[in-house]
Amino acid sequence: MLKHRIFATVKALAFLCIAVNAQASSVSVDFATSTLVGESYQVDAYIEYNFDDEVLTALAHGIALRIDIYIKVKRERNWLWDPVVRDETLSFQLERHALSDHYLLTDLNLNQKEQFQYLDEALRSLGSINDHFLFDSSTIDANATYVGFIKSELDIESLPPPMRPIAYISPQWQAESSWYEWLVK
Amino acid sequence: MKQSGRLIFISGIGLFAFMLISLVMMSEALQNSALFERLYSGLLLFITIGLVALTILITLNFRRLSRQLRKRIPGSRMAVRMVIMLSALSVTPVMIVYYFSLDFLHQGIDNWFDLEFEQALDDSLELSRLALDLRMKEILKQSEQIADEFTEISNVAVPFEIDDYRIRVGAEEFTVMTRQGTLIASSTSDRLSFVPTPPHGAILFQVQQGSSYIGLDTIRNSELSIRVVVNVPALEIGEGARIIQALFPVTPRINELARNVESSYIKYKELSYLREQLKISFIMILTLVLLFSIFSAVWAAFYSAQRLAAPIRDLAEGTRAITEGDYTTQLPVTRNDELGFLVASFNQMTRKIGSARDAVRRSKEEAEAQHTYLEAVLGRLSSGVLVLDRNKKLRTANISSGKILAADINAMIGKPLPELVHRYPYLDKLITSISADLDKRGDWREQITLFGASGRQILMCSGTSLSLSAKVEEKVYVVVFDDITALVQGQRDAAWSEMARRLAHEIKNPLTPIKLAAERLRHKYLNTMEADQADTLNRLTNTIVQQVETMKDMVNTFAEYARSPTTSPEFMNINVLIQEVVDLYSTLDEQSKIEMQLASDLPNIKADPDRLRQVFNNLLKNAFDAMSEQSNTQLAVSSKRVDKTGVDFIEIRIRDTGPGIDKDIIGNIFEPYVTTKTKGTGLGLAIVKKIIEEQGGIVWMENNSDSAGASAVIRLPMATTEYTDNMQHQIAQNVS
Repeated sequence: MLKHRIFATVKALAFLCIAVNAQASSVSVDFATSTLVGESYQVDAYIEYNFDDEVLTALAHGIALRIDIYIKVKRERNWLWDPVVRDETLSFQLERHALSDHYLLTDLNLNQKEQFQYLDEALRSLGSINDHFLFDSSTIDANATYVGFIKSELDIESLPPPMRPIAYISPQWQAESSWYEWLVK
Repeated sequence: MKQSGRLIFISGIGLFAFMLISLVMMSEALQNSALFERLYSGLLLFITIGLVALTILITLNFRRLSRQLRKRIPGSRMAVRMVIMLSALSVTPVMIVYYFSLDFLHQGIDNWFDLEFEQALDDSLELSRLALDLRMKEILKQSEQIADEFTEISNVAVPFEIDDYRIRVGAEEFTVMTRQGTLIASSTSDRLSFVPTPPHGAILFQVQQGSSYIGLDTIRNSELSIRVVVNVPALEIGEGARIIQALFPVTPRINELARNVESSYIKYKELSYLREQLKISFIMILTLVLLFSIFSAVWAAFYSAQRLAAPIRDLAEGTRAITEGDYTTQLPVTRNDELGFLVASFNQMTRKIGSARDAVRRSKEEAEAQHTYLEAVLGRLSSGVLVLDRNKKLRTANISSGKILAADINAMIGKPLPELVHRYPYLDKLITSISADLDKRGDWREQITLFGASGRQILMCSGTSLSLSAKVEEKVYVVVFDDITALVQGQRDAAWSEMARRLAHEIKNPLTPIKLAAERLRHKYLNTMEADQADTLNRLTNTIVQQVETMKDMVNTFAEYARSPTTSPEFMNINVLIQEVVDLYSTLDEQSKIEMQLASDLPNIKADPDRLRQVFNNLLKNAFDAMSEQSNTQLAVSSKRVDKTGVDFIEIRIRDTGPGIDKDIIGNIFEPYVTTKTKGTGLGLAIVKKIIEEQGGIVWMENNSDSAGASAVIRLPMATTEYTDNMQHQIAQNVS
């Protein structure tokens, strides 16, 4: 009994060590730009997600992943801090449907679902932001300079509780891009 | 309980409660509780912080206890033993429970995952897929047949035919579009939805490659449906290629079963994947519970030990205060148990001891006051008082006893009486009389005559025994004595004076007629008698006349001795008077050698110079008479200021080198008719004594201890000095 318990504990610790020392996931923003279409500014961006096998294994085993995309627009000022004129979070949930062997991508803001036969297809769709409305041109100062920021990350807090302690310390689950900024024109 | 202690206790209980609730919430969160799931990380952080806080609390308590142990503060060892005992009692069962819980945890979680159960789930999923596959194959075949039929229907006619086709094949939605995905026509059974669900790019791409697509659609109306996309064969080259997409519903029962299978499969897969994480999480929570229990128990042990040791520490502090003489210490009674009763009893004891000590102090103060009072009374008492213990050791003596006995009695306190005799041999008779049968005698009274350096001394002694308590050891003997020498002497002098006065009166009166008769007899019969008879008559009458003259002188001397003093005191320098008298004797007898040692700092005294001149005349004459038969004579006259037994006086000493005075008469030398000379009236020294006593002084004769001869010693009090009079006058003025 003692041997079994020690073995199990060692196994758990080994699992923890492997999880901590494994390769990391990566998320990067390839590009982001905004265009004035009619009276509104729209943003186009592409974010590339390269999840670690551990993350993909969890997805394959029915663990739903929540990915957040943060978009901010600041007005530049010379002497004071830059005020945020637009702050938006786009939240998506990626999960696998076992019966159909498809991947479901849910826009949590709009509560809309998309079904993909392949994971790459789902990740491309997740990373593609096309013609996303930023703000009306009438609401901003035409003479001011606006800078847009975008980043994306995997939300660890949405994982099942047993996974969170390991996810917090494991680089495999640290899927977070740096802020990408562009000049809003 | 002190304020800080109460605060720590409440904080500790609060922390304990919050951590317990947090652990329950974490446990619920692990069991898929939506309520606490979002709080999981926060709870984990809070519990970790709580454990750190408990660790800090325990560390602080440990340091405090270690410090108390090093300083040997009472109760600290008991606190250590209690902490160890309580910790061991609480930690041991918790560790046993932890050990078995870990084992049960591993076994329990492993038992969740059974291979047969997993295989059954896989099979059920596969069965579901197969069941749906059969339906999908039928639908694909049917759809391809419909696509063939659509070959002959032009794009213009499609809108008119499409509803019939949809109804015929039983589809929910039927859409005809170009291969690029452009809509040509669509029909749906849902009257509220007019927009068809377009196929995804990947499906279009597959169809464009010439393959048909059929698959499950999971997103439309949250129900399962079968999506089929097939190519419509083209009759002519160049005609636009078309595709047909149809969505077929799945029966509600199949939908429900498929959903259940999907849900169970996913849940099991998720649990299977989370098996190790679950174990880690449960072990972590169990470990947190263990640490929480141990830390809480240890902290509670520290707290309980300190609380239990606090009254003991207070008692020790109170005891120490009592040993240092502080009986005012009152300890706080904060408990109602046995320790509280003990502390209350201690307070009562200290109060009683304090009261008793105050009573003892008061009685001691009263005794001291009584002692001081008695000392003052005894000190001012003219009688000498000696107190002896049962061992005949001198216990108390007043000042007058030393003065009377001319001994340093205070130096003999605590010493036995024989030692007093050894140091002052002339007290032998007194000590012998006192010591004799002291135990058997009750109150006694006795007159004792001593022969000291100052001559004969008559003491009237009385004594008694006193019991200070019931114990025999506390028995003391009190001896009171008075120097009645002066009294006896005074009485004797008075008697002599009376006798002298009567003698002078009775003898002097007939002397003159006798003398006159003798002279007349001679005058009348001298010329009538024959020569030889006349010679006889003349000789006899002359004898009568001379003897009468002698008797007259004697009577006059008696009269002088007996007459009342008529002194005229004035301030005078005693040295001047001495020098004057000595000069007179030097002039009369140039052979006489007189050595003078007169102190220069003598103050003036108030006395009658004529009377004192007579004193010095008598004494010098006596001295020369005493040395008349010696060839080498030496007379010394000295004066000095003497401070003995707290009284200042002037001492004049006339020292001769004669034969000295016989011890038998030295005590009575100043009495009338006591003399060693063959000539003289025997009243010279008596008159000297009388005059000195008139001036408030004292005179005695003593044999020289270092050589032959005797000394006449006169002491005149300084109380009558000019200086003292001036001081008394000033004091009187200040008082007025």
